[in-house]
Amino acid sequence: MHKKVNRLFIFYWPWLLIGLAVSALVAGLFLPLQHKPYPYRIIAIGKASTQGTAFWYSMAEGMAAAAIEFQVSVDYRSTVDESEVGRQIAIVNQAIAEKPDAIILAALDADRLVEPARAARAAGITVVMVDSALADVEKSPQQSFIATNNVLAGQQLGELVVQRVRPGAKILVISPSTRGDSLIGRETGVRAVIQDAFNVLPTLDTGGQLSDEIYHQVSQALIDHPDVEAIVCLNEYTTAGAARAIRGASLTGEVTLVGFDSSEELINYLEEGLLSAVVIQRPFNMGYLSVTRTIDLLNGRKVEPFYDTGSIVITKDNIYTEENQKLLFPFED
Amino acid sequence: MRRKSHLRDSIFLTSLFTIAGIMAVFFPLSYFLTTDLTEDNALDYSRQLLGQIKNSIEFYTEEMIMVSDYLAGHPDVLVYLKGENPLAPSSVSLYQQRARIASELKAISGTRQDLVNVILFREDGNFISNRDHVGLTPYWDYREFDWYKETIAARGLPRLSSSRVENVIAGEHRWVVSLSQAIYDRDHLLGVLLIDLNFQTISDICSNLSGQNGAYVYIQGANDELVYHPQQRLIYSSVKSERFDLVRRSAAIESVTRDGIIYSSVQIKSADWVIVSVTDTRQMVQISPLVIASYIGIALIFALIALVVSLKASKRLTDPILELKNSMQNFQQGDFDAKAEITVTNEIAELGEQFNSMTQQIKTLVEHERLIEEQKRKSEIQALQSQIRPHFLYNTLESIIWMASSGEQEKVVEMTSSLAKLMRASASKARELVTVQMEFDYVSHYLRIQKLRYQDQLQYEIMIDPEVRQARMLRLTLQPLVENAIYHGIKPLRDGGLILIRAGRAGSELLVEVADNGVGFTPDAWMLSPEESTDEGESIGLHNVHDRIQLLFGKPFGVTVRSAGPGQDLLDESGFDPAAGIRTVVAIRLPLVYE
Repeated sequence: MHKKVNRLFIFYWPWLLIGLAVSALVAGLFLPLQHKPYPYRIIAIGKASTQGTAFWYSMAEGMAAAAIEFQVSVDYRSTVDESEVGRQIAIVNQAIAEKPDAIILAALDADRLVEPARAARAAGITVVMVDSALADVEKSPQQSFIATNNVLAGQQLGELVVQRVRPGAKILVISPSTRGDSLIGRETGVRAVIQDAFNVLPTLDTGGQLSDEIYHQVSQALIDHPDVEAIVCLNEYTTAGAARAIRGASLTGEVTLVGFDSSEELINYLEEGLLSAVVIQRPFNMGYLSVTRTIDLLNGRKVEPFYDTGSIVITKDNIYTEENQKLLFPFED
Repeated sequence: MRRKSHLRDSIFLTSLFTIAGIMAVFFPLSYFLTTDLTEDNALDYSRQLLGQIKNSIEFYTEEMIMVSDYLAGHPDVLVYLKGENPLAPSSVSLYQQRARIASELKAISGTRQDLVNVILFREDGNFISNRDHVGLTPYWDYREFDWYKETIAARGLPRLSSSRVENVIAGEHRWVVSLSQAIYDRDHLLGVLLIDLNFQTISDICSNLSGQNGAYVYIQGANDELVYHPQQRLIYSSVKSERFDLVRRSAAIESVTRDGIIYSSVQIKSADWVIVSVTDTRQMVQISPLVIASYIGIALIFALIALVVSLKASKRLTDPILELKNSMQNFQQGDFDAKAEITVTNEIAELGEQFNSMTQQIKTLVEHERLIEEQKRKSEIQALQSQIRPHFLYNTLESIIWMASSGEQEKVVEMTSSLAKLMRASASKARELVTVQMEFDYVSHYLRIQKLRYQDQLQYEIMIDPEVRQARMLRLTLQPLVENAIYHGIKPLRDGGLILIRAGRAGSELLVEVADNGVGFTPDAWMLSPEESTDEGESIGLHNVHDRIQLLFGKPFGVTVRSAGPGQDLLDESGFDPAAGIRTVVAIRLPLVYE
């Protein structure tokens, strides 16, 4: 009798499985009605602290907005400045050890961050790049990349020079680093426009240092090249450092300065006329979209490999337009 | 084996699909009921929220207008605006006036932390601020800005700006909402009053009160620009969009629901601002993974219950059916004792009982049929045996020959005639039951023949109660009794004997009696079975008759014998004449029937 019952149970297992499949189907009918993603844990690793730069402040703000809207947790971490590649690798490795659902990374070094990113992918962690990608986009472990199209932004910078400076003039390009993908892109864009028409000096690599140090480096450069007519800076604090150096050398109006990104300080320089123009990015959008794209990936949806958040030229005349003032002045102080 | 389990399959599938069906109806139903309730609550919440925010913002804007009106009508202000350059040495009193106004502005902004700037601009470029030691920015001329131009155009009416970055103060860029009012002396413009409210005050109201359950609030300005939006940077860069087409500029709260999103809007007094609350009910009525997991869990438990219950149920149902089926197969193979032993008590048990009683009936019927068949055969044989024996025929024929040779013509005729009648009656294929009269006629033919043979040695008398003349009795039953009386009763007597034959009614019975005064016999003798009997003729005759009667009519009927035995008189109970000396009475008892 027992044997018979056992046999019957074995025989009915397929039916039980069918029953389960039906149940799962019924439950599955409700899944599309669900809008809330699972409470994913995302670690974002930027290039600089939110206190140090307006750019990364806005970036973290955008990430936080998306985190609140989609009920995920986003933990923003960063190095103090852009020179600490080794430190950023350590931060990535630490993040991998914490087993988050995803890592959003702005690579300080397009080559050296490839291995840590691979390790993250191998650990089943979704990797989305923001602002600065990894080298060799085709083969890199990144699943999506949200940033300004830096080559185009660099070209915008180049156009600003063309509009303001006489052909053949001596031009200094200042970059905080020559390893970050975003900076490489900008420099490529700038040089594509100005290389032939002007006398472009070799790029001054400030080595990731902050404005105070840059002030000295640029002041020295202005002494070394007294005939420089224009300076092109590839990020926020090199622009600030260069502006201070120009003022320090009493060259306001003599040297045309075009820069990248914005801050309260840079806006004052723009109003003053010390700074001729800046190309700004949309760091808030970048942060927000990097999180939404990451959630899309985690939910198994297809995501474009690259999303361009765009860049805008700001001069003294368009600071207070409806859109631009909201981009240039973060709400909270 | 699987194909034989159809019943179990269907029971299991039925319960499974029933449960699946219940879940398929119940879950969506509960979902939609929940959704409906949540949407109603969300609508109420959205309107409440909007009402609160409207009140808060109106409080601030009205306060600003009050301050503006107060200052615009202040006599010191008018004197200052009309006056000459306060820095000129001749205008000491104006300088004091200026100081009084500055302390007035300070007092106003001092009570209100959210008032950032209260600045009075004079047409000639002089100004008084509520804050000490602030200068106007050297990079801009405020008179070039839109807000200034529009204030002049408003001709003395207070104008509330959208959210903007205040850039008149050197080195400062603060988000404010500005109330500005031009001050005229008749048609002559004296100056402009600018009151800046820290925009944080308004954005805090909007962000603190919203933000729950996916609801948020934004403010749309007079020219449809965004005064406040929690994600306005995304909207300006077209990453996100807002349904501005659903916004109504109405003093009462209006709500529109599109695709599960509730848009409520209301215009505030004293400004062209519209406050809009957006509540995404789709985010509220979400089914968490936990709920889905528990749904699946419940489904799993139901499926398990269905499995166990249906197995039990089908076993309860199919086991008796199998038992019944086996019994039926046995029965089919000829086992009439096949019985279905069903322990449960339901319709199948009734079926089993009916099957059992059916087999029982069939068994009885078959048995009965067999018995009847046997008796019928036996009866036929006995009937044949009851016919006239050849021996009697030889003797009769010999008697006829003897009579003929001795010239007894009349006797020959009589005997031959009687024999012919006897033979005809004996061989006739009449029914089993004949009238008493017919049977007695038959016996009288027989007795006439015997009388002719035995002459005076045989005396007989036949008495029929007329009442029973037409009653029915079994054919060929009387003759064997008479024959028995002649051969075993009378014949042994040297002086001959008497046979009395009588038919009458005894209660509801027909009683036919054959009595003789012969030698008599042991009553038990005839009861012996034909095989055991020493004397063939005697017992076979009576026995056959008895059997035939009992076969046809049943137990109480038949042949009874009362005999005194050798040398004794029969007890006088027979009702016969005692003078006849009756010693043996053989009686046939039959039911009295006429048809």
